[in-house]
Amino acid sequence: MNASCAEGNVLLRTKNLYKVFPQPRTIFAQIGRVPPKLLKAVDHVSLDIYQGENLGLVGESGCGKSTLARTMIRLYDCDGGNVYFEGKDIMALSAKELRKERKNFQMIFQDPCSSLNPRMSVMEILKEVYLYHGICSKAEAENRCLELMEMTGLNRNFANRFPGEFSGGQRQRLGIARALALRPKLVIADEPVSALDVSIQAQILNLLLELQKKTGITLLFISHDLRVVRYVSQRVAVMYLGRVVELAPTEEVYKHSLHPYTGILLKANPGLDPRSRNPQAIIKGDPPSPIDLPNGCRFHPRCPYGMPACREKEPQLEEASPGHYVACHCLKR
Amino acid sequence: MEQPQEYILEIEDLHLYFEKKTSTVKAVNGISFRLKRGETFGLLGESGCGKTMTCKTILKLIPENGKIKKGSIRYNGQEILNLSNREMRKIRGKEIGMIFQEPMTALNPVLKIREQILEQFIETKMSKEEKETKAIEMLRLVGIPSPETRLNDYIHQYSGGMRQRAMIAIALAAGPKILLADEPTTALDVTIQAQIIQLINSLKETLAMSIILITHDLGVVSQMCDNVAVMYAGYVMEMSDTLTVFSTPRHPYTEGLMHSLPRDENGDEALEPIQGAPPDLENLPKGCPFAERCKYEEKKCREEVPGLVQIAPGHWVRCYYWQKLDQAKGLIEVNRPREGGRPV
Repeated sequence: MNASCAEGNVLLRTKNLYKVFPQPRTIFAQIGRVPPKLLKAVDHVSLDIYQGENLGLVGESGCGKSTLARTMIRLYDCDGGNVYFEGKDIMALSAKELRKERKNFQMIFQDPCSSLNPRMSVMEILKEVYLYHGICSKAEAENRCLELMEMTGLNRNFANRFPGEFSGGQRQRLGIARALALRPKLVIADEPVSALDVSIQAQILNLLLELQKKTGITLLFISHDLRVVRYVSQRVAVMYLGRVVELAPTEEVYKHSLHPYTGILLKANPGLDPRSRNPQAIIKGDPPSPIDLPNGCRFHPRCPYGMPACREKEPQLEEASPGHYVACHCLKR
Repeated sequence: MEQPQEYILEIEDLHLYFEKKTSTVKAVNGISFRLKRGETFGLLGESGCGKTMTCKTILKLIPENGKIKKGSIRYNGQEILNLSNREMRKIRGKEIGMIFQEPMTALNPVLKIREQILEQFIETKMSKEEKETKAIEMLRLVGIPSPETRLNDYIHQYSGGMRQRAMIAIALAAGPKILLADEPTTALDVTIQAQIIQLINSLKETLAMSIILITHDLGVVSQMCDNVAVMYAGYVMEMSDTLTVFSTPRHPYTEGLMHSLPRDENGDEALEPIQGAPPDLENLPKGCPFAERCKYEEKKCREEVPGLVQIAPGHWVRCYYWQKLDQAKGLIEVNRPREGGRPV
């Protein structure tokens, strides 16, 4: 896998995307008109996803990676910024237009158990997609569903079974089949393998990569597992508390990471060699709450290289070397 | 005669079945292993392989429909399985402690951390002040800042990593000799996971404990365990020291697990997943439980379950055809002569 596809056409572009969740207030705060505290889940993120690439999005839980993905395809309405899909402003679309456009971007969810209706058979789940979008007749849809099942490695005879009868891996195959039913251009996979056992995880990863090769879809792959992301992605974006702090071709990130947070994440990943055990805790403390963000660089309270400037000014994402973007003051030293 | 001093816990041929109305779930099918004093022993396996149930049996915390069909568990040479509930209570917590994967479900949400630690001292004869000091000391030991005030918090007021620390503090309060850790880091982020791994490793040294670690994560095993048993469908498939298992796996399932994991280097190398899915425990096949997913499978495998045989000192494998895996590569490479001078 190479980085050259990074120079292709932009499929989806977010510009200063901003999404906050107002926190619940006490009754007294409501009467006193105290403005609610804001949880900044996605804080001015500008990101390009190129045609045909596989972009990995990594970060700790609560860093806003899922919210970013969902805001991108307008499952959440954003509180600022724009999203352009093939040049079209997604945020300006009417409900009807959006519904049409949705055919082009689909999502695979982490927990196949809770994202599939337990009362619908496999056939009904898949057929619904075609009928909802009015793609084809019922008979035609059934044929296409069987094809889909075959493509994702599900036995045709399972068509009348219910999700509850399947194992985790098979359910995830069904989730993938549903996402690919409309031949979308962009698929967002939100932790597609996190709930699966290692041996099943590898099956699903290989299936995703194979289908990507076959259909040429663009994939945004969200995961907290750095090993998995390295395996599937060509570029990786690292998020920390609502911001992208580093964005680069995969091997750049894993071999020459520039942001201290990325380095810490990589070192924290338990190594596979029992002879080299890391005796020191790599990072102290927990991530700060996204409600009361620290001033300046949001990573500075945990950063081993903190400088005075880090406490005052928030660093912006800048190109450090071709294709390698970092948001850190320490680089300019 | 075995020296009772060397092994603190010995499990032999343990069978645990769950009786359902119409069927029997064979959760554990003859597990045997021994835990040395001061070692960390890993039980590695995927969900449903019986690793958690094995550990819960050690504390006799099995659900009502669970029946121990056969086997023995000896703690310090004493058989645990025929102890009464009252006698077990003296062992739980004080001799053998356990931490669970999800602190939010394992700890009581309506009791303060203080009360949950003090609960551990019921069987001891300490004064109130002593207990209080000990509780604070425990929280400090696991790295919770300002323990005097945090003692009065509830579990939901702690962050994810601190909850796990609090649970460790509670499990260790009564000073157990063995700690059973059931997926202690699975619900945590990598940075917090690294902290907890380091904490457990260092506590093991300071408190001179032995640990049984249950996990599905090969990385966690490599960072923590001295010896490891790879489990599948209620059987131990392979057992050895961690380095041997990681460098020269000799069971097809272990090999498959390692090839399913993306490598740190050469990220481009395609993964070779194990085909199929684990067998249904209500309906185990007659032969080797792994046979239908195994690429080395032959007719014999379908007929009878292979025994666990020692193929090298301390290296046990449950497979008829382990020799076919002579060239199998693990996750790491080691150049180390084994007897016979053959490099492994």
